[in-house]
Amino acid sequence: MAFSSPGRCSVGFERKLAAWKKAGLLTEEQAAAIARHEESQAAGTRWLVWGIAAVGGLAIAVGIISVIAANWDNIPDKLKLAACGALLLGSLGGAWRTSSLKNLWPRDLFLLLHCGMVPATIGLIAQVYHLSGHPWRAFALCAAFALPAAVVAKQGLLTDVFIGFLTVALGLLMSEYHWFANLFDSGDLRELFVYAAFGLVLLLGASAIRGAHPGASAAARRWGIGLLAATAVSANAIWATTYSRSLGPPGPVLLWPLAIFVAAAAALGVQLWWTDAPALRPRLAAIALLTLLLCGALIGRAQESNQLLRQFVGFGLFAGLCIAVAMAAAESGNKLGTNLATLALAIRVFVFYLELARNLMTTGLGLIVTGFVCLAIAYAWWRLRRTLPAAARTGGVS
Amino acid sequence: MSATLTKRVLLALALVDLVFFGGWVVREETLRRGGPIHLPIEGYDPRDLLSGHYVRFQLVAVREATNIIDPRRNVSPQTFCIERRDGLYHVKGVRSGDASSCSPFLRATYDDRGHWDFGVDRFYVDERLANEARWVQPSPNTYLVAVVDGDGAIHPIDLVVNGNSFASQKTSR
Repeated sequence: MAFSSPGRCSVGFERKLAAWKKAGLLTEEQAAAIARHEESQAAGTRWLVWGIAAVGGLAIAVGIISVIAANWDNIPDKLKLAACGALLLGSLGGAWRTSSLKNLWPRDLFLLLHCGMVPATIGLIAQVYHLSGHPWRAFALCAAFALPAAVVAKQGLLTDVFIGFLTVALGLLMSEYHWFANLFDSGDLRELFVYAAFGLVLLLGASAIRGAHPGASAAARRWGIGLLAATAVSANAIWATTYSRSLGPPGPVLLWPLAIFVAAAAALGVQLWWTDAPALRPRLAAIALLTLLLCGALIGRAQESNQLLRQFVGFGLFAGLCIAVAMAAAESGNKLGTNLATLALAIRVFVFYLELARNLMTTGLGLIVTGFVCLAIAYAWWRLRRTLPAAARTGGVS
Repeated sequence: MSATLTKRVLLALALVDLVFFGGWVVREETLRRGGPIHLPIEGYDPRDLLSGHYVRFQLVAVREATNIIDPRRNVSPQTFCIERRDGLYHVKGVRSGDASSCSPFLRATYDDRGHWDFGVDRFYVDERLANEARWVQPSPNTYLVAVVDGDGAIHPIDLVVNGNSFASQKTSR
């Protein structure tokens, strides 16, 4: 049996069917049934029509926005406010109307529109009444309004929006107090500790809501791991640099961000141990290495003579963290996590060469360390291959 | 989450939207119905490109208040008495005691950069009028028209540059 409009894919599929029949894996009837099923599922020109319709809809939306923007100053303020309010409430009305449908994507898209209309409304009111203020408040307000939508929505996308608003608000709040000034120089990493603690809290929350809201749990996990990765990379940059004396000696370390980070790391460790999570040992090792990477970056920053030692220790801690994360991901059957951690390690090795390639001594030491790291990776891979079942290695169960 | 519970959450969210944003607009409208005062401004050029058509400026009151109290030595919010001189309001001194000690007055906070922050530093301008704002120098005819509420907060109504009101130019076009 052949497809009605054979293309390159269908020809390839027919070849595979013929090969499977020849190998005795399929009977003639089974092959015919599979071919009929695939033919009925063939997309044909449907995607092309959907694509044209999507481009048309997008063109109309952008066109309407452009026409409004061109005449923005001619529109009375009251009309702007009324239209904005109507769109704000209309998005919720749309979510209400579609909340009884079997497919909940339309409802979640209306909720996403509402999440976008909240900052638009805040911006419009600020423009009409010439208000100014600290921007973190606007983002915190958006996060507060996005939270109910994230709770209601089935998709994790709304949780992404909520956490995104919260992350930006946190950054702007710290920026208001100039916490980001001299991040890679004489700072005490307070902003990194706050963001890392936030990432750990998200991971704690992800585990807590996994049963009730899998989509939100996945989103919290994405953001938690992303924030921790960002802080680990920033801390690694600090290990590789010394502070500049032109800015004066580093001030006293602000202890409470450090304390909340250590407390959050301890809480996550206890939770993993209490729930007997899969890949427990590499996960606990990753938490310990992250703590050492962040807290250790504060030690000896004022002494330039320690720079080489700091570079090696920082590299070693980051490499160990990548290996622990790769092993935890592999033991959990998460291929993407394993690949990303391995990629991060490869990039770090390359950057390490750039940092050290100044003389034969440092290049030689770099080569020795890299050799040990490669042997450690090979050993870890060998151990995993021996201990893990085949399904976990080849599957994508996360 | 069941459809009924979802609808309840959506209804509550709609009510919060209505009360919060509606109340905000009503509050801003109400606050601007008081008697306006004229506050001199300076240093509003160049405009901030990231803020669209906002004209950024600094109230003369910031400099005057700094001459009275150095904000770096006083981290708590402060209120300043203002008085009318030649049609414009200037800072007279620190407000002390109860509400009867001076009226009107302005409230300021310390902005961590050695300045008093009166909460007002920008005004939205029609893009067709933006060029006019670019070349203006501070003068007695250049000021912010605003209402000051009972807490000493400033609510801008209009920006007057060389005697020309931006708000009336916008509505007349």
